[in-house]
Amino acid sequence: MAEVLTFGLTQQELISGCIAGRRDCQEVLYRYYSPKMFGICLRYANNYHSGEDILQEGFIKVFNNLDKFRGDGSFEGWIKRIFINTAIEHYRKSVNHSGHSELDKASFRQVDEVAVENLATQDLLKLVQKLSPGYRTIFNMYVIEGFTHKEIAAMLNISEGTSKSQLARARAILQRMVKSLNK
Amino acid sequence: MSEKMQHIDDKFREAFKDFEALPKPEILGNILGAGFDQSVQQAFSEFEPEVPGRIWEGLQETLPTESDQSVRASFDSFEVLPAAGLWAAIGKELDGEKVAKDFDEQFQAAFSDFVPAPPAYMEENVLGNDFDHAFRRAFANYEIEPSEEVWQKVRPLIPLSLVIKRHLTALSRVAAVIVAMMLFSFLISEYATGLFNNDSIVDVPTKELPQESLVNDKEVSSPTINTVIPDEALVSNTTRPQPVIPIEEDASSAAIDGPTVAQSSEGGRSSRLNSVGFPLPFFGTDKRVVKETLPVIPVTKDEQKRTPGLASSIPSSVLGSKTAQSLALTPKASDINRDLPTATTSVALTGGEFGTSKSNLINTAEDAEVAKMMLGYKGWYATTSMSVYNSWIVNDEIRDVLADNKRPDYVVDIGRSFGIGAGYQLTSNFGIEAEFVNARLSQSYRELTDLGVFNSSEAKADYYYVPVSLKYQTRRLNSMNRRIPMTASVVLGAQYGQLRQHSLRSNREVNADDSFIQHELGILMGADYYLHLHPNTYLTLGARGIAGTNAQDIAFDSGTPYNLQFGVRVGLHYRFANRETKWKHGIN
Repeated sequence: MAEVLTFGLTQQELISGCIAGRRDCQEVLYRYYSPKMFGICLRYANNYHSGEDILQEGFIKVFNNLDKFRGDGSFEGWIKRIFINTAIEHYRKSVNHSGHSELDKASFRQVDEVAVENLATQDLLKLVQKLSPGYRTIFNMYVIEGFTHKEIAAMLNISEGTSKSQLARARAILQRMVKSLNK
Repeated sequence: MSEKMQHIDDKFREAFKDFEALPKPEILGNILGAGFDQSVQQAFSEFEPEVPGRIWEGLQETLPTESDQSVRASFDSFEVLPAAGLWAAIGKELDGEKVAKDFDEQFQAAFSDFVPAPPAYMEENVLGNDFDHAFRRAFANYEIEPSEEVWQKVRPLIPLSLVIKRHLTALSRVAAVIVAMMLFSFLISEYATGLFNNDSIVDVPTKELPQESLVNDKEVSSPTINTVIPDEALVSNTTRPQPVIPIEEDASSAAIDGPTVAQSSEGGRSSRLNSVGFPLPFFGTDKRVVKETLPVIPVTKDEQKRTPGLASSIPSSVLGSKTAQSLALTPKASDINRDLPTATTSVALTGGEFGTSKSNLINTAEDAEVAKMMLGYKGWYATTSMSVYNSWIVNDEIRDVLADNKRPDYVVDIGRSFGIGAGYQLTSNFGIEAEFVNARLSQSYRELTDLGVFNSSEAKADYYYVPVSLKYQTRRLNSMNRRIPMTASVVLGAQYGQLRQHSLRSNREVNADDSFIQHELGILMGADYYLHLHPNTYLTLGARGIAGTNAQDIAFDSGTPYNLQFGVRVGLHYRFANRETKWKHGIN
């Protein structure tokens, strides 16, 4: 049985309605998925407004390409990939190499999981947003989304080695920040 | 040395010349045996080769990582209880007679569906370090409501219907091509009009008459209007004095006689016409002053009969009787379009190419005949053409090779072609034409991959085409300037195409050599508008639509491959008309 999202509409009905240009379906789809997708956008953005920009671009892409969803996978996963890709495009536009200066100073001392658990998600989000765009993107893609280094390298057009090293440094910076917050 | 000693030496040398002797085995043993081995061993006693870097890298990959060690440590104390029913089954069998015989099978069957769930601490170790996992857990279901402004910005940018949007996109491309073609045609037409009229602007003398002279309804003498000029006089290039026809004019009548008067007097360049040929209002403040004049229009008897005059169509209440009389011989616009002229203005200027001067303008009576020839020409002509078009390679096999998705976006690909050929004008309306065309077709695809990135690919194919078409053309003179012939044509034909070369562009290695149409058979249709640059040379601006399929396997099924082109075409043509053929073919 098809999953009923909201207003008695199944996912397929919602998609068909959006493709046909029904405004009510488009708004339902937006209201249903925007909180989840905004959470993703904020992780890749360095502030709230950038997150909104990514969200806006992402939804425009979703609505313009809805007829390309083949239905052979998760619709939410398909939307999520579009938002991640949009965030990556934002990263490409705003590549800032100043983050490399932080690499050498990074501490590699381990931080206890408990220290992380003590922080609220909003606090963690702020920490992630403080990372430079490159570290933030790779950390999100590897740790949160679960992409492999090979996939990250292909999507960001970098080497696997770069992906690994940037991830390690992103972790180190985050650990240092978590530790300082727990003091 | 004595001769005797020398002789002995020579004898010895000769005796040992072919002498070969193997050393004794013990001698060889001493040389290559124990002593040799010993020296070699000694040389290598402290030899320690350095391991090449690649070997070390390979070894490193096999060394356990921290994650591996963590997994191993987790499994050190890993104990799993067998499934609940397992011991019962085994115990039952133990009491039975077939224990020894079926024990292995029973044991394997008991574990066949057994999937132990790892303890939580082990899962964390396997998934990575605790730090990553804590972040992953924190953000797993993280949701936050965006501000309402985002939806307000997104909503106007959502297409009403993707289905309509796709069609509109295609239609807008077609519309853009048509608008561009019309604009280009208009600009060229304006240029050509100026070319034909450049020297025909005549300073027509004007005469101011007091209003009273017309109010009295006094007859105005106009000998020229009612005078029939012999046909022979029309071909004369001599300049004749220009009598003036005064016209009473006030603000109300200015707009009525404007086009006809202006066209007749200055070939569309009257100061009383705006840029598109419509009359401008009369802005004079003194209504009693007659401003406009009409040049003399000498006409033949035939034309006089044929042209009832504009005045007859204008109510006498609007025009004074004298004015109506003055305009009696002014042809109406509808009459101008009706047929080719047999008369022209008496403004004697330089002749056309076929006249007495080098000018290519059509201002004399002979020029009018040249115009007639341009429309009525029958004979050979040469042609070159260039086309710019949107091309589609509709081929499922190529699409499947290039795109993962069955429904990728067909991206607009502008193709181009160049052709050279010849035609024969069979009658003034019908002609046939053949060309040899070198054309490039291409098709780009764009698709959204599973990774959320757009992937582009492209197929290109170069063809040699031989189109043969039948042409039907209309012929008339410009309503604003009768010296300008206006021609438009429609063409319908067939073409054969031979694949010359092809290529594919993709982010992976692909091969579709056999999928392209090798021998193409197609139909074409189109329309052209003619711009006469010269009595023998003209440009055509037009559009072409071409559809072709595999000549070796013509089948109109759902998977049939097609090559499609739709675009604009510019042609430059030259007809082989000389003075003799002009009279022979063009002018009756």
